[in-house]
Amino acid sequence: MASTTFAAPPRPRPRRLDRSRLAGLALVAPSLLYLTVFVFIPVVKAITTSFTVRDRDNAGNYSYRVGTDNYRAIFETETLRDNVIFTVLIAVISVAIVFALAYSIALALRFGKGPAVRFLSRIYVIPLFIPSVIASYAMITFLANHGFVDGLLQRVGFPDESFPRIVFDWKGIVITQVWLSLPFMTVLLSSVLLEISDTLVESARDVGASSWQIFRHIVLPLSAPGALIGITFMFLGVVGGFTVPYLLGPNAPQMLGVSMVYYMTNYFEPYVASTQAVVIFLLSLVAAIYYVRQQFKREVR
Amino acid sequence: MAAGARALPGVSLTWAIDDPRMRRLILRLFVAGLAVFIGIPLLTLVLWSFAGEWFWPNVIPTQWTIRWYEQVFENPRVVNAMVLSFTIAPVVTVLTALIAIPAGYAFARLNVPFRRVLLLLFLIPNAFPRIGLYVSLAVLYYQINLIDTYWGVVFLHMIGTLVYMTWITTATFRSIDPHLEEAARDAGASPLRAFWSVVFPLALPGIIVASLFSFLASLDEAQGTLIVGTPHFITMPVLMYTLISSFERPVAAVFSVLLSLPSLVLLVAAQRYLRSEYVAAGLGRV
Repeated sequence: MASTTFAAPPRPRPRRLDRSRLAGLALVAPSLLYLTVFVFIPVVKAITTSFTVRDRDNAGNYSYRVGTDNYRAIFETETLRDNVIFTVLIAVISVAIVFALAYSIALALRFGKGPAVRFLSRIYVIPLFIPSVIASYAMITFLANHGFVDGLLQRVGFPDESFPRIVFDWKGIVITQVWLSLPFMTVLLSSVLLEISDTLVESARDVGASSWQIFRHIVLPLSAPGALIGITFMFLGVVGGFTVPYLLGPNAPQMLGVSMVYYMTNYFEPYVASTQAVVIFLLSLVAAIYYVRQQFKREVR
Repeated sequence: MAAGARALPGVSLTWAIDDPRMRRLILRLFVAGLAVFIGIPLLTLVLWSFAGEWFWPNVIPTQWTIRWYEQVFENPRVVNAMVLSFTIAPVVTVLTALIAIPAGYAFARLNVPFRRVLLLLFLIPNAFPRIGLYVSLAVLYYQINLIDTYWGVVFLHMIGTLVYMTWITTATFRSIDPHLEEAARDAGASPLRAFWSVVFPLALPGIIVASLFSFLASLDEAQGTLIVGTPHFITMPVLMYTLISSFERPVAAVFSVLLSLPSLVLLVAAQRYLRSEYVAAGLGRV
């Protein structure tokens, strides 16, 4: 309420209020216009495009009709169906590993002390500042067959060709995703853990609770809602990722992000690409709804 | 950041182990393992960028050189990509700031009608997987002739930066005492004047952090730019895709070092402004 004064009662003065509402709307309008043109319309467009079927007759002319053929293609073509399953699996595995690691780091930062913890607080943020293309490339040189780690193992006497295939395989995608997402998840969990009051933990200790009991009955339940925001946000990120699976993933199965871009730019099939985009939206719908609801609660408060 | 300044008696990462020496050992091993996992891959890239001769399985190069750096700066493709990246990022940042700061102010201070619905709409871009949005946007771009154009790339970059900057500025304006602005108004200042001379200077640190991150996000955006910007608008990270797949290893390594520098400089420069909620608000480049 920018225009109220100290002494003024907050409620009456309808004219001022109307002007402030109008001003509010005017200030939000440009952003809203932008989001409409570049986010909402494309999403609606993707949905309508996914129900558009392009047929080609014997003379080579195209005709268009409305139908669900694109969706049937995705679920009946084995490679496309495998891509969907692969995408979900990779996302679930990456999120689980990042969550376990980030929770350990956040607990150490919140409750630990000493030089090791101070060092930890400095290093864990680094990947946040490295572009994902660079991180992917670093992981390739690091983990590839005949890469850095392979060479190191060779030097200490492991037999040649004994290094497993990590790059251009699902393992490469997971490891790089973990590397990239670790700081974000840790920052989020740290801020959640900071909201747990010291008094609460100390009083539990005073009545004789063990560290495990404190963790199990106080820290874990109190951090769960915030943690779920991090989990859903990261799930959305991995499912909608392109760079990491494109550079480190196998040729088949592909993650949906990669396959979608190929259909779009290499095969010039916007119909199949849009359908995959809608499938990606649906796959992440539960996560998306949860994310929006929780984030909303925090912002509106 | 959240560094364990306020340690609690007896509760630590290794709560399950009784012996304190054992506990310290495990914590140190964990930290060391993490340092190796995070640091060594980046170090390998730096080594590659200076490698004159590096035959596998040597652990470090056998000859050192800076010729790859010279080669990179003589390569017109690379120079063009740098120029393009640094002409796109400021434009993205300024345009985003122009529309996000008013929206952030309105959400924090004014009585915006349909406030809840609008806030919900502003969360949508984060709730859809990015690559799906970009492909949908590319389909639209083909129809309105924005594909492979400068403005097409700029507008795509703004999807991420707009949401981020709106949240940060909303939080920043909300943290400023409204009485200050009211006092200025009582003293006879116009609403605009009160904003410029009282609220804006106080909000500046938050706005600067948000702008810096927008700049970096635009500089690092690769996947969307690849889809809507090829073949004529190749920014630095998009060129990286080509360099990696063409196996020019030392050149790609040099380029990686150069591309990471702006972010790392910022990390060092801005560390004390990096409040964790800023980062958590949406920087997550997952």
